[in-house]
Amino acid sequence: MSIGSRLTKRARRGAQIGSAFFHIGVRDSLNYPLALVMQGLATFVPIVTFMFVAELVGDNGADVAFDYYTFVVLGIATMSVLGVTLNSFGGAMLNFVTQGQLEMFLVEPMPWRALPFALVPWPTFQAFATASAMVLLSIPLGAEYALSGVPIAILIVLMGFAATLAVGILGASIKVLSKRTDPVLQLYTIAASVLSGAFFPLELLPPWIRAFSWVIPHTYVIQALRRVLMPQGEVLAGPTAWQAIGALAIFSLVMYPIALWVFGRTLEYGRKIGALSGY
Amino acid sequence: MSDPIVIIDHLRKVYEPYSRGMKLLLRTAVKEPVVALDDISLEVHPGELVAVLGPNGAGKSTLFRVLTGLTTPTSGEASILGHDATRESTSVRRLVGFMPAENRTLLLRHTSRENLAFHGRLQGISKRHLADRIDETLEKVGLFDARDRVGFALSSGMLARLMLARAILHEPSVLILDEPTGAVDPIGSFELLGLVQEIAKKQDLAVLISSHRLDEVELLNDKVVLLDKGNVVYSGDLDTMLAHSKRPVIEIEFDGEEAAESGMSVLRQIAGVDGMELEGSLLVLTTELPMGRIMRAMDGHVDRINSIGRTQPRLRDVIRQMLRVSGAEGQ
Repeated sequence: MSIGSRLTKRARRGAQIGSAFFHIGVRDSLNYPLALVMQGLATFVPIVTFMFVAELVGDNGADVAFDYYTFVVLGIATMSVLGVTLNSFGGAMLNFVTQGQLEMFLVEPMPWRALPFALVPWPTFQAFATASAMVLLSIPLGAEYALSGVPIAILIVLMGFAATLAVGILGASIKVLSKRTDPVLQLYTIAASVLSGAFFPLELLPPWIRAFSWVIPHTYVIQALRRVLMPQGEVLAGPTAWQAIGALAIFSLVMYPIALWVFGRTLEYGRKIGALSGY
Repeated sequence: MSDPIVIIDHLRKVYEPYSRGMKLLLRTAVKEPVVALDDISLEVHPGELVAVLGPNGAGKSTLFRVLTGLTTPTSGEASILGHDATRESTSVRRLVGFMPAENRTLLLRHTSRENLAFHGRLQGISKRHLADRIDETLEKVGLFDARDRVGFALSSGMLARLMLARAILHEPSVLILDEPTGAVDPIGSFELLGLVQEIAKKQDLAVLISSHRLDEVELLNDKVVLLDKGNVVYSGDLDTMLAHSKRPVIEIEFDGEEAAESGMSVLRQIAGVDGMELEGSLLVLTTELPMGRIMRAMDGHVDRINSIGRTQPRLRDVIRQMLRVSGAEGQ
């Protein structure tokens, strides 16, 4: 069998497993309609809150492209969508372990290495829909966006998904063994919320801390989205859209081999010590 | 006889205490190495049903976990149709249908059909065949009429059948059933096992089944593997196992528990009674003494005896005896 047809076969199988979890995710969410509605409503709270904060901040300078509200909404929406990608695999694993279903999934004849990719499409789709709704809701509340930037913005977000999923796989690798927590994701999430400049311009950070901002994919996504989606975004410092896409691609190229290798090793170690499907 | 489907060759599994680093992530009760399987060898042929018996901690679950790829052996090999369970885990899982003890492994808020559709996709059944395969399998386990009912609306017996359907959906060569009748009532259990026998025969499946209910093992009446502390105490057919215990058994049914207790204290005085067990008003003796000698000894209690007779040794007693012998040999 040629490499091409082998890859096609693998991709098809991956899509089949992904679609299985996507279907189940959709049905599960619809089974708890009130929870779904409340979850949706909760995500709008910061959009409304920051409308008032933006009024308090008042006239804005060039470091927020003269519109703090739009600036911060993009930061919040990105944090929310990338946060889900980051945690969805580990969260799904934890759910299946506590519900007693993980062992049954692992016994099925699917490559375990497909799981990090198969478990994330539905939560990511949900997060993307929520983030889009956040952005749309912010328009009547005073935010302004440059529609011409939407196509490239989607590409930036997709690259951001890919990069943060690699970090998520690395974190979930530890969760395979620890079951409940993983220091990688916890530290990363804390760092990302401060270092990515979601709520304030990066220039406010001391220069030595700011250097660390650029090792986090969140920073590239947030900064680049602001540049392409804010009407006066070009005045902002930071990478252009293509620079950000390039950086995210390099990050993914470096991180995926590491994350998948660590994931494979922890699975093997879990099998050896008999801790794979336990709780 | 045809070639074996499952070959287990000198399999050994030792659970080691966690390393310091691992202990930071997760605590374990294992303080010293635990030998879960100790040099186990076994073959299972197509159409054969093997009941894996043994007390808790005997190694049944570890054996199943090795065969399903969830854990790796410390040494030795386990293979299914030539595929090594450690190195070719995905291929092996394609050949194995697994039915766990707990029905919470099902998606209980989803219908029978949705459950099978989900697992069918994970099992790699093509979209073109999946719907038909689901209907056929539900028909096979007698759940076709309940295809659109959610898990929570099914009885324990129906949930067990749904788990069986899930295990056979991808047409495996080996069926591994881990205490499949755990929460099912006795009638439902016998129906389920009958179904397993029927499917195994029709599809020429090799079946490994663990159970704590010995009446079920007697019903299956095929090969038995008795494990104790990771060792095979007995491997062979059930009849030979029962014949293994040649010690005769006499059962005396009294007209009440008090009379049975009193009869027991009388029989304790006489030599030649090797074992006695009281179950309510039934006294079970292991003895080679003639029945007349027993009756004579019971002289003052004869009018309280409802029935007396020699019986075949019961499976439970045979197993207990074998485990006792194996324990004594191990010390």
